[in-house]
Amino acid sequence: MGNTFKYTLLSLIRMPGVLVWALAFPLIMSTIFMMMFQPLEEEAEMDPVRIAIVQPDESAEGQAFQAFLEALSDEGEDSAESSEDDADEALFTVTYAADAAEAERIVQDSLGSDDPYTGYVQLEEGEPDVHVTGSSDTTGIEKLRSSILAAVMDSYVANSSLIRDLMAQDPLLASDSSRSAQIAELVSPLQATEQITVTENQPQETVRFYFALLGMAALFGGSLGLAAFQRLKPNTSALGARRAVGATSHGRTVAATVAATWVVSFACLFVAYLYMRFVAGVDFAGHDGECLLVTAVSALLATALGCAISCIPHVPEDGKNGILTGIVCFASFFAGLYGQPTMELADEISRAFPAADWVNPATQISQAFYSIMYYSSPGPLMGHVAILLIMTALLFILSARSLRRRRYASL
Amino acid sequence: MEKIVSVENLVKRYGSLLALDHLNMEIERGEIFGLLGPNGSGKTTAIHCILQLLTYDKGEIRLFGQPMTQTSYDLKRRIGVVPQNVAVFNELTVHENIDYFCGLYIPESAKRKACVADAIRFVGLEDYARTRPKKLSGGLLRRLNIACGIAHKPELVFFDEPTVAVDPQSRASILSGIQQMNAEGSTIVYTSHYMEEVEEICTRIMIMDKGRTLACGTNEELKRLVAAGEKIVIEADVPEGALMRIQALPHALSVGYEDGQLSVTCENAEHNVSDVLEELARAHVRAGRIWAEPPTLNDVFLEITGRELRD
Repeated sequence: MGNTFKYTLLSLIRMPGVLVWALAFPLIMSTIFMMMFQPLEEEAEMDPVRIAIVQPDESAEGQAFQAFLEALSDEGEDSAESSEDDADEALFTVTYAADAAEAERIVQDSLGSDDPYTGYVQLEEGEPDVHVTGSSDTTGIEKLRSSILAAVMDSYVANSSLIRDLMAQDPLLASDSSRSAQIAELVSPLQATEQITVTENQPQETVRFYFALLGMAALFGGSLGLAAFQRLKPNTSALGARRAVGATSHGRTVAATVAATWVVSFACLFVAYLYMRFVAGVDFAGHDGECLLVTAVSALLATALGCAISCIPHVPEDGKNGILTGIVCFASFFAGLYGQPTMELADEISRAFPAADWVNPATQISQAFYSIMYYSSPGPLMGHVAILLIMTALLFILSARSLRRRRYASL
Repeated sequence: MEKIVSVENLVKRYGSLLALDHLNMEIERGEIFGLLGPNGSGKTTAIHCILQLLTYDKGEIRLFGQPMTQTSYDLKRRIGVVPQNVAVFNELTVHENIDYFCGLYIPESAKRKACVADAIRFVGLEDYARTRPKKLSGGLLRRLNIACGIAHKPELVFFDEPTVAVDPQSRASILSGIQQMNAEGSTIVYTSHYMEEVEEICTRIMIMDKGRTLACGTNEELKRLVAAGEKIVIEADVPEGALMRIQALPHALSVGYEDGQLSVTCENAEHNVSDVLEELARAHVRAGRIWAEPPTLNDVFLEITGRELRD
């Protein structure tokens, strides 16, 4: 049995045609997804806007403006005090200049760099005067940065005007701590909405593609099972016939073949998972153990799928490969792999016919990864794992009659 | 002598086609048993039935005196099979392939190691042990196929047309290897289309057609079964009249004349050559070179199975 296991494993990992689908395909697709989604994610997760500030004077307006900037920014490269947390929260990265000419020079000098300054701000007569680069080849992100700078400075002007008016009406306002806190709350835009999440982790639009890809990659692992079982049965290959006359029990040969196929399929899928996690940076919420479980069960399902397809009678090997490819592509469509419009269509069908999801292995694998990421309870994950195991058992039962046969009416 | 293979009244049908028609076969220990027959005569079907790859409708198969079933692993352990089509893993090296197939019979890897080395040496693939089958020539592939079948040193080996599409050197090497195995104690069942091979190595030959045994015996016994005694070939310019008189000779079975070469197939008789020369002398024909050939297995085969083309 060990001998059959060893050499089935060796032969599978040396089959380039099969490994292309089981291993190379998910890695290539992950890389393509990574290149597609990275600019979108960069836009969604913007770095602080780099600005130069003409050092305000020591007047009350100057001190107030500087305090405002410090609240919204980490300090520029001249400062050693900024922490990573500050940088995450900060809206601006500020560099101070002695005068407008120096600020403009800082901005101009940075224009060719990877992270240019969006502009500079000079406080004039208590109000910030914003100067942006206004280059004709400004990208979407740079336009957004300019807008953020302008909007924040506009809100500063509006709020400082409001506070000045209130102070003019009631000069004792600043000495009343409860009322000044109310004013602070009033002028803070962040208090208007509160962000909460109902899932364990923040939903990310792009991970759906990766999870669906894992589903597809797992099912393509069926090509390993197909290749292995084609060469096991006397009626499908000369090699199968030769092996059948050996003195090793048929049950042991089948068991060793299932085990070897599962190991290779699992290894391929696990490599794809690791690539997505560490190279593509897909967030699996750190639940590696659960991901390993889903990967292992998915690989077993793929083995059973390949085995079942190899047992279809009167179809040549190429035809069986075609059937497998058809099943994988069809199932992946309903798992939402092929872009936004098909994803929406798949969602519509899923809402109208929930049973379609239960019988779709690609959807079940994809949703199992969802469960890991978004649910704190293990219930949903275990539900998907149970469905995958039931599918696996059914496929093996379907194959059993064919696998048990050792003698044939014709070869 | 111990009967190693015993097949009684074996019947195998493919739908309406009767592939094996009450086939009987007995092979004794130490024989090189040749199984001859035209395409579709049932040779491979018979072997597949004996090896329990094919179901059969009727009959009894016993190997080493015991009934052969699909789970007779103890019997299978004593059998080697070299199939007609090369059946190896293309992804494994020569050494790995032989080790795999040997492992189907000998689970202990330490014991297997020596067997694999011996098999590689036996077929002369020492220089190709780490080569994959795709890089081997047709002859080397056939030798690998043989090594996979005999590495576990079986007592009984089935060779199903092992020399198809190999060069004369490889063929000679394979045949001498089979004879060596036989000398070392293995019983061989050998099927082939090449009559001269069977004639050269087999101690007993069975000719079968349409699933039935037509004749069985040693090479000499089979030759005695047929009327053809010898073939006389004479280089000469033979006129039509002389040809007709030679054809009329009482022991002449057939007469042919082509490119100045007269060939006369005769029955077993004592004065065949002198009778033919006498007729030529009467026609004032001077003979050039003259030679006579005894009947070959090919003559026997064609006489028994007929000369019509097969599928």
